[in-house]
Amino acid sequence: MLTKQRSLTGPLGPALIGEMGQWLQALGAEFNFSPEDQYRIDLCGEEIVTNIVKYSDPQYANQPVELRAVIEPQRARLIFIDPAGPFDPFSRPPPAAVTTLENFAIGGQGVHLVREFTDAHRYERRDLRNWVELDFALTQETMRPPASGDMPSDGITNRPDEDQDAVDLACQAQIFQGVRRSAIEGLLEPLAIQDICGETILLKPGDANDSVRLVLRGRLRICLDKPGIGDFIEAGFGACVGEMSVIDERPASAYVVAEAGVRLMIIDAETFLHQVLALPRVSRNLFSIMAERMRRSDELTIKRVRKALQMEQVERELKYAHSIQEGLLPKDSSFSTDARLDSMGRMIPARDVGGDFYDIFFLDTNHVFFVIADVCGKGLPAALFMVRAISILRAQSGFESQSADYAAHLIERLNQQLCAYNDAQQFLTAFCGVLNLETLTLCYVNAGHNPPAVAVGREAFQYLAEPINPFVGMVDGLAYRAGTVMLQPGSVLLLYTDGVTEAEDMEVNMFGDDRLLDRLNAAPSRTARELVDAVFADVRDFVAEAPQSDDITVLAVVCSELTN
Amino acid sequence: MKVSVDQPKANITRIALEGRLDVAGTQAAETEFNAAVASSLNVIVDLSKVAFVSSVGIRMLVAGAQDRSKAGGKMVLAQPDELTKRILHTTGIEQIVPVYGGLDEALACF
Repeated sequence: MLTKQRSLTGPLGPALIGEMGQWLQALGAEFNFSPEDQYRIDLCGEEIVTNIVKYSDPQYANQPVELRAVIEPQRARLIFIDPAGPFDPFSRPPPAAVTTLENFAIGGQGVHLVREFTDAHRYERRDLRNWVELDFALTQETMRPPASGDMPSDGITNRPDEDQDAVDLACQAQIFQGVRRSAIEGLLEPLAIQDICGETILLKPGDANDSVRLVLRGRLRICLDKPGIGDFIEAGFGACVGEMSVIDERPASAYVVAEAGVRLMIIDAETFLHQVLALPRVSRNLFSIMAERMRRSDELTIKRVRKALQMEQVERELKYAHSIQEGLLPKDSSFSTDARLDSMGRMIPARDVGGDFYDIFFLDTNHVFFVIADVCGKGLPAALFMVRAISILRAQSGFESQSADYAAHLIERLNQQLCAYNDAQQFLTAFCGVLNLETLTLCYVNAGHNPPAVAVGREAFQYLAEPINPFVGMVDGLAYRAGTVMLQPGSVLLLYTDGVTEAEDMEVNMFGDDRLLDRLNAAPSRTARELVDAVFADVRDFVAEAPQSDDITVLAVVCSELTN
Repeated sequence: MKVSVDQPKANITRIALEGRLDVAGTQAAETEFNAAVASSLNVIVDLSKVAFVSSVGIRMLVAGAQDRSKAGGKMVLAQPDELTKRILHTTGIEQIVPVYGGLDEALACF
């Protein structure tokens, strides 16, 4: 008995209903269905596909649905295979008898029609899929292709065009190059033809594969990574995929994605291994296909390895940059030698390198200078700008250290020099000050930076809000206004960047200014280390699993109780 | 899907459908069909050029008949082909919406 197999595969979604309808009509044209048979098949096809689309959970959207048609001379069988949760359309009782127009309910009528217009129907849950099989005894014999023994001379046949095309096209495939048509047409004629009506993943790595797919139309993409990411190998007309896993009986090793409009001939493993491979010319073709494929995948592999090595190089360089940047910032021990001063700074960059920095050093025996700054932006560009800024500050810091306007002048010079060479239009915010350890006078400049928290003597922390100046590096020739505050022994100045107050938790809440003040006021003692540790610990607890989005920097300057 | 409307007799509207009342065809025709149904108390839906009806098409036809009935009028179906007739029979529609083989019979029922 001669059997023909056709199938259509497409992503689960409303478009499938129309696609399958059109495909069933083309099927009828190919196999000469009578108008009555076509009507029944169209009707039942639409009802079943509509059911699948309507009742499947949205999580299954776009997963492949397959409609197979098995055509015999006097019978057609349609098999609908969908990936959604178990759903037996025939489990529902037939709709109640219709009595009045008013209480007519449409629910269940579709499946009822399927029951009535098929000769047999079955449902089965198999391989995590729903299989619905419908049988139709045909009223008119399907156009019967010649039995393989008839062997008509090439080109003169009475077979339908569609079918003729499929075998003709297959004969032109690379794998059949140089093979006489008469040697394979009998083999190819009964093979299933699969159409693809929307981009579909046919195979995933690890999937069992039991057939070789020969491309008759359109294009397959073979992807090593998830489709859409990375490179792919193209398999166009005449190419085949799956022969390797059929030969070695191992699962698929790559994604195979079919684009919309693809038509495939499906050579089942049995036919492929025992009949196709038995043709000497085919084995030779297969060797050259595999050699070619290996060469191409080698090229891909080499490209990937090269890219990975380059990434490794970049990462290594970023690590160097990170340690260079760390080396630029003052060490804990280096700026706390004077007993009158207790200080501590720490920066944790968001990436390998950051745009925040702080610095603290003695201008002379009684004057200590400190600065905290935040370069706009992140990563390498910010880090380079930061290095420039810290170098300029250090180079300029030697002048007129006794002057009350020292901090203001220093920021003005920094602004001027950064503006002079700033094609990339970068800028920074900074807070800097000079603390006289004899008088405990603090002269400071705030250039667009977060106001530091200050606690005078044993009083509570509050923000040092005034005066505020523009940020540094964008507008040439600015004059900066300084502020002065008198401190006492035990006074604390806590400087930070917005990485602290704008740290975000998993729900995108901000850490906030109030929380910082609360935390500082709750600190059991006010040593520089304790305060810095407390702020970092609190930010870490607050942020929890959320990714760090900005550099976080804290600098604490404490006038020791020993003073005087 | 084509929807044409005429008045073969005073106070009777005939809606002639042409094409397939499948999911796509019904979707395309529904708005126009509903408006045509609402335009007259007595409506004949001429199915002579309808090649196919599935359950969505049935739903549209029944909704039309229910709408006319509520308005105090009547909607009937005329000239379905053999298979469509079978569908009207299988779904039980013929019990609640009058179905006539010919247009004259349909006209005579009002």
